[in-house]
Amino acid sequence: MVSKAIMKFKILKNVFLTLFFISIVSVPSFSQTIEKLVEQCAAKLGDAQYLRDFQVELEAAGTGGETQVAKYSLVLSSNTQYRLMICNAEDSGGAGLIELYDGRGLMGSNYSESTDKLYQSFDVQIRKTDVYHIFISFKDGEPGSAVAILAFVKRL
Amino acid sequence: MLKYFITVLYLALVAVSCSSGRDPETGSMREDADLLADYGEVEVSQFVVESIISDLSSIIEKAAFLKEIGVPFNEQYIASTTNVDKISGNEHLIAFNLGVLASNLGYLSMYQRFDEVPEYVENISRLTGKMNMEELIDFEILLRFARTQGNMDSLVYLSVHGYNRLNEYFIRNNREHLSTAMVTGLFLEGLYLLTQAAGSNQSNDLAERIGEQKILINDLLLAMRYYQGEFEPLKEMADELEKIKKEFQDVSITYEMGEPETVEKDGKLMIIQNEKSRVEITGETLARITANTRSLRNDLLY
Repeated sequence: MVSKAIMKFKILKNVFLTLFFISIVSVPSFSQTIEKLVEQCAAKLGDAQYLRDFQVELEAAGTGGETQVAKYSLVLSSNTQYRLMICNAEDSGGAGLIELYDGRGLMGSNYSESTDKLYQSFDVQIRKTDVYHIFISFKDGEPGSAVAILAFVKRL
Repeated sequence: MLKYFITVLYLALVAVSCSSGRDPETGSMREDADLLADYGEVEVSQFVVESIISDLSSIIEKAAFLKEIGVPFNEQYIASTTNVDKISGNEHLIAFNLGVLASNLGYLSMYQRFDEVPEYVENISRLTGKMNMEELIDFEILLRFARTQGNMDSLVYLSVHGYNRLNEYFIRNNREHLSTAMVTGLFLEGLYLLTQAAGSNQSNDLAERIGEQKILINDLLLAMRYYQGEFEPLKEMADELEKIKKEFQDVSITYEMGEPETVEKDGKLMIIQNEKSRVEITGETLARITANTRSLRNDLLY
């Protein structure tokens, strides 16, 4: 009776381990997928040098309509041109929106109101070393996952 | 409306802790006299500390700046790796030295010193091994890349990305105090790099960049003081860093206000900041900052 139970346990254990192994091999985790996206996004930077990435996965806007926003702060140096780029994951529901703030408010974003166009990246010419903030969300409050990259372009 | 309120509240909270003391009025000019004010018993949140740690974490910006202004590579500006194996036990000191070596790796990568990179990569690997974190960075790829003298951009990417992952690991695993020690090493080694370069290269740009560190040193100390009650090594490091902070008191930073503008050109979007900062630093102040930085850096180095 005891040996039967042990045998059953061993079989179940093997089945479980096999399924676990298959799941690891066949389904890339979120972190693996996002790491790949960071690499792909960094490869699109052109003449700019990767400095930092921000990995974002946000849910849809709440029932009250408030958009989910990921917030980060960063030090930018004076007389330097930076690039901020966003790459949406393949399965992302919405398109990523990056907004850059200084201590006084919004400086700009990858969305142009005049053309109603969402750019993948924008450059910013910084004239003052300070702490700045980037807010990342998805257009129209949709859920989504994306990677934003901060890159060094040149000294001004 | 709610979004606007939350945004303003967030900026206000971060500005309180990370402030460079900017005058909210536009069109005016002000001097940053209060930049180094003692925060005393001001309470700082974990969120703010994490922000500060992440803010200060760039292993290549100072090196990229030196390269851009034409300062030649000098191996005297970086740490020797001969004593790395002697570090043991004190994990804050290990983390500090990880920051130092990461800064050196960034410098070597920016200047395409492929021959020296493997030595630094191997030593960083040893230090991460002492903290059981060696699996976080793909050291093999970094080494292979350096040995085959591949593309410089990729080498820099791998170096920076590896450092960022270490920092994130600390933060995600509630070990921000170690991240703070690592960022302290990174900051101090970066300041050492700039001050050493200024010693042999006369450049106003370089002197100004050193003066601007006044803005960052206070934030770093804020993070270090947050943990000092719990971790004595961080308190000791912070006490020493205060001496360098004092030397920055004579650095004057003034701001000329202006509104940012967005322009579209050739299908690309560009934000231009019209607010400017001007840094004034005398030769004597620079010499004192240089001496204190060298002294502290050499004391804390393995």
